[in-house]
Amino acid sequence: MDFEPKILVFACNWCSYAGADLAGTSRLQYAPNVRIVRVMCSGMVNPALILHAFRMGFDGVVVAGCHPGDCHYNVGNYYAKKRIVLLRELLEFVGFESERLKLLWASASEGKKFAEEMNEFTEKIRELGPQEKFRRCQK
Amino acid sequence: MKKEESKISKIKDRVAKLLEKDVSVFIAYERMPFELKDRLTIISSPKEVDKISVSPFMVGSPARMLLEIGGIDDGKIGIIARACDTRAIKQLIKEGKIKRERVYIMGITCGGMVNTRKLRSPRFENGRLYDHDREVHMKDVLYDTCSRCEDPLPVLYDEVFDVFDVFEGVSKADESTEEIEGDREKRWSYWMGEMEKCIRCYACRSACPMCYCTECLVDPINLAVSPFTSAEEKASYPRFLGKTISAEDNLFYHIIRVLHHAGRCADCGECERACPMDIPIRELERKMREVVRDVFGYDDDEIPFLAKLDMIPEGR
Amino acid sequence: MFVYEGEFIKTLAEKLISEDYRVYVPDSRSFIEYEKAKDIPKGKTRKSIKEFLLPQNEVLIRYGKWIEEVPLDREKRALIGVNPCDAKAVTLLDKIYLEGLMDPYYQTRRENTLIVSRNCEPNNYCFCESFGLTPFSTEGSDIFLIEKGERTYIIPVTSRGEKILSSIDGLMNTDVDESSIIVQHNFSRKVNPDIQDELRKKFDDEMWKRISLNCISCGTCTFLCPTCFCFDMLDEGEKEGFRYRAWDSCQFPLYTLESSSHNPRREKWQRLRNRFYDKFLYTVESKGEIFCVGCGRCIEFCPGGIDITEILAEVEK
Repeated sequence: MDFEPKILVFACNWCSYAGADLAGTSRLQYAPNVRIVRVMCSGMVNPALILHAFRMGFDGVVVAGCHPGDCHYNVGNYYAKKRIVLLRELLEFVGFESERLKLLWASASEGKKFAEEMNEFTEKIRELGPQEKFRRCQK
Repeated sequence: MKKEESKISKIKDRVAKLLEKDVSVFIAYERMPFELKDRLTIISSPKEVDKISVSPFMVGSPARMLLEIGGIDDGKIGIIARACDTRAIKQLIKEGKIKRERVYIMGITCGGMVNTRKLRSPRFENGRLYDHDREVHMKDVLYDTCSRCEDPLPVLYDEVFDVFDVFEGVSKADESTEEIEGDREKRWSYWMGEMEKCIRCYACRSACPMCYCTECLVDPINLAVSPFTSAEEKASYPRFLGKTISAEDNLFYHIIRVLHHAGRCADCGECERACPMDIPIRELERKMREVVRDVFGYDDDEIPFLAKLDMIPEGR
Repeated sequence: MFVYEGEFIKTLAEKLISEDYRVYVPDSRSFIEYEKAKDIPKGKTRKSIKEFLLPQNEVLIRYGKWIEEVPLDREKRALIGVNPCDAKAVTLLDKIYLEGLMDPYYQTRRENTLIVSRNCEPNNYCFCESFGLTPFSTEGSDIFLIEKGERTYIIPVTSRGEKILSSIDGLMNTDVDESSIIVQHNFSRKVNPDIQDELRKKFDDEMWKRISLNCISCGTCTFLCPTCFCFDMLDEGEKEGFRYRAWDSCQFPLYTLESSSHNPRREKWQRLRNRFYDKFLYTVESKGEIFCVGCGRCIEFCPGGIDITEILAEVEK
């Protein structure tokens, strides 16, 4: 049975969501496993939201934001980087595969890069297999 | 022991003197009536200083008590603080929860606190610790936090009393987190085994001086509402975690709680001491401290860690 | 009374397993399955046995396209090595859940749970004697074991216990006098159970504000207490999910939060006072029983240093 991973992407409104949009309008194919949620800034992504996504059964989570220095709100992406690094270290410490969480800088003109990164990530998650650790089994 | 007794009576005299005009209340410890434990108490007049007890059996964080009574008087609040408590107070001042001028910190050197849960019927006489009739070396029964204390000297104080000696063998250099050996699966099953025990009593959170949020993220039991909070606002409070008790949900709670302490944890060990199920919560906190120190290179700055905006090295 | 030479718990556990019971024995923290236990320590567990009758999470219904009722839990369980205080606590819980509006979930579990108690070793925190209990009390148990040296004395307490014992070989009748095997214990803590009048007078006393200084409003005392029974009802999931009830604690700040945002017990001292009044006055008035068995877990594990015996002594002053 082929395993199709489910990937959740938090894309910031100004840069990476526009980049994803550009990938779409340029008709660039990328993995359909990716579900994109638009947030205003990558700095608003709460670590609790990410863990909640894993609990709901997602196999991989990507937080995509503007390049450092380009954030529409000046410093939001710096906070995001700090939080994601802390969360990844902690997840690795407790034995969860921290590769399932990825931080991506993609600007509004990088449609091709967005598509490529998504494909690469999907393949990586496909190799890792389904995420069983945090997934909620109904009691 | 006479040396320590005379030091303790010096402390009592000093507290009495301070209460006369410098401070309005003093946070100290008193011996519990039926147990070998010292709990927090508030002294408001020089007549009460006799009940002050300073010993290796003090439980409770005075920094947390300081936050709780902080609004009571206009006067100054005096506080007896060990090294970890002074770190907590320093962090709270940095975060703007306490004003430095309002606190009179009487630091004391600390040799570690004894974990009375490891003993069946402890007795403390003449500076020696006994369990039933057998003598026990204090440094064998200290709390884990205390036996790995990084710095047993107060970092912030108005005056310092040298009360206890630090035991040799208490390793200052062993600051690394004990990474549980082995691959991911082994670590995961270790943490799942520990998290199965958690009963989500929230003692860890309630005992921590840094967990002062009136509105806690993972637990909607602590919401700041008033009669003027509108219904829409109440309905839209995010609810990440209910009261489901499963190993994964418990780990969710602990990870999020520890993430909020990045760069802020005072390493006082109250969380682990308060836990009724003996879960090694501090391992997570220590990992956080290690990451903050090694990966980010943060070392006790004016700006709190979570507010600092550095780029960190790529490749992480 | 019967007597058995040798390790009775092992024989009993194997017999019960052969009759499709799931057997639980204590380890230091709580009760675990017999197969996983390495040895069986004496003394109180940290968590009481109420989690087997009133689990910390209990799913009541599941919803999705339809509403699906979750079947009642009819699994047969046997708890071996229960303390007399915990067994007495079960009879108190029965008064809440089986009298008046009967709780079918609790009742099914209760009917299918066998309680085998054992004489315990009290520690410095115990004060069961103040409520008429001893380390040898049989109230609430189905079978009571007294371990003395190499042999075990066995007292069948209920007819259910008798039925189980009648099918075990190796039991010999004995008419040994109970008073010769019972050992008195000297309890250092004492509480006067007749403080209802004093409590009525002291409701508005300033002592409650002073006494609650050390409380940190966690839920440890209520969760470890064998007689505390309050619960909260929650739903999880939007389009599909489940409704469950979970242990709640009267010490949590939001326990009495109303939907209007008014909170009658917003302050810590109000909540602490309520715990004492509920256990020592209100339940006496409504059910005729004090809801405390003197196990002392709340004193032993309170992170702040609240001592129920000290506070009750203060009430009497």
